[in-house]
Amino acid sequence: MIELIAVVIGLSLVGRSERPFAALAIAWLIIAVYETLTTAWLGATPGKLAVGLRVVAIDQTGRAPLAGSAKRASVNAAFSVLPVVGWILWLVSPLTDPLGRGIADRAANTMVVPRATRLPIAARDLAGYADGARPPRMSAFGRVGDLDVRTRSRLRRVVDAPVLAAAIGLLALAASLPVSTATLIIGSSSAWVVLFVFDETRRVHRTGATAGHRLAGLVIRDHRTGQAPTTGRSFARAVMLGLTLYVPVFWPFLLLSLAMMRLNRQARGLHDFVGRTVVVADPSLDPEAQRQRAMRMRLGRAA
Amino acid sequence: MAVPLRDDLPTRRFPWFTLTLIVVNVVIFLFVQPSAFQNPPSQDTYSVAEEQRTRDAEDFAYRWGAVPCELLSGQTLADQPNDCNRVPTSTLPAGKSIYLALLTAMFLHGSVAHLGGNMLFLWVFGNNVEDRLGRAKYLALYLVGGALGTIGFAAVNHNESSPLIGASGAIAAVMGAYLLFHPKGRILTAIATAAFQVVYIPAVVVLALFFVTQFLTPDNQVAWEAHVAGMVAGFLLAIALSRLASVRRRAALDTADVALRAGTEF
Repeated sequence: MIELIAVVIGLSLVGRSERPFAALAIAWLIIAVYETLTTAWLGATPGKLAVGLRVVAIDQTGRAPLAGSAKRASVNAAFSVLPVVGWILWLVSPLTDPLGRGIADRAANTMVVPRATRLPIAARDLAGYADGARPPRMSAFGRVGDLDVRTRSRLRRVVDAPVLAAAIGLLALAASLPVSTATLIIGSSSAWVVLFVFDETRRVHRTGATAGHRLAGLVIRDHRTGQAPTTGRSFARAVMLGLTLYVPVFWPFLLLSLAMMRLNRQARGLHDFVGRTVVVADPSLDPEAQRQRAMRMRLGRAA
Repeated sequence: MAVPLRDDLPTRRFPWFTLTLIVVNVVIFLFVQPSAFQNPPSQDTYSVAEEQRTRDAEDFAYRWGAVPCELLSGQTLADQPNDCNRVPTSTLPAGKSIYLALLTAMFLHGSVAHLGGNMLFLWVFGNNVEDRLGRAKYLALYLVGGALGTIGFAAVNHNESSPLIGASGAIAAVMGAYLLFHPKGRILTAIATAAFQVVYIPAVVVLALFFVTQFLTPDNQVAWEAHVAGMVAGFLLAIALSRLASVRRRAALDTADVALRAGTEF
């Protein structure tokens, strides 16, 4: 760690030369090679070894193979030489994962574990380890959906909605219209929020789930009755969600909502309070199957 | 504005050629091209060194970039062929190999943003096309697609005498092939209009959007004709290549994999 920082500082000084990006690339290469070789030969970088940690490949025994080590090291190095944005992502990403796996671990399918850990770490067991590290929260209607799984489900919001996907394409095409940037952004974004609220309401009040939720094995339930939310409540929830997700002015509320979802006992954000809902594991699924689905979503392997 | 970040289609083999192409492009940009490309000289100082750097970059672009007028007339600009727009500045390279430039132009980039954007698109779309086609055919698609993109640009702008550089045509060819092979592949895309959001959308939407917006490009610095020609060439080449037995076999394997994944838990 310390030696890596030294390399970054040293090369950022050289970076004042005619070829700053070439200097950055050399810094990246040095860190990547150093991490690759130490991880593949020693089992981890000397810093990790000193505090009793090592890098293992998921589903494999022994030291992480060269290819996996190289992938992990390249991603790590890329983020550690990218000033500010890279450093923030690099430092924050392990905190968002229940098992503390950062961006590089996720990309290379590896994990940092205490040296005494028995191998292999099986992908199938990760869900269990995650629950051990951070006990699942429960509601009256079953296990509450985890925040990181729910945010990932949002990325897959339009998976089963080709019309909505086409609408995004058409609205993005509006960038070519001869209007001012402000008009363009406000107009296309308003149109999208209206479409989003309509579609979200329709899906949530009918089935209690969007495509992303279904892939993660989650359903949205009224927190008092345990039924799918009513049309009115679904609409209120969709409006709150549409505004906080897509209108930059309201992004402070999105942060508040995320903090609430992280901290309160049933992981309910602002939109859940407005809609009187709670997001829980789909009761029609086997609990283990649901847990595996949620873990697949975390690993980026949702079908 | 839509920027693809990744797709969720797994590959059967490690995309070595895609990675190699990226490394070659990046190394050439950072260490071979004159420093003015990555670190533009300041405009408002009268520094001899800065002016020299600008001139180096121009000379380099004329020597190794593809000049549409040269390609069509078969004469170098130094020989002053008819029907070519006048070139005001810089000494023109003598003894330039016109048709070699068709190849070398594909590995040069104008700025960090140009390189970064191109390599991102190549990384997102290249791996699955390489996986489907096999390495040699993938490389052929890349090089031929890139050359056809440049020729397409030249055909439309036949008097143009400023050099064309960039892997865009070749990458557009890869995107055309992706459109044929995986139209339903989900691409994680960052979108600036339609509310700033990051969402998985089908490849056909991303690629159709890319194709259509090319015709509406306002910027004269962007050779959008090369993108259009490259993408069409890539799509047609991919149709031809997909009739080969080896490609058909891998297509069948992919179909079987999708069915398998849908039925398993891990």
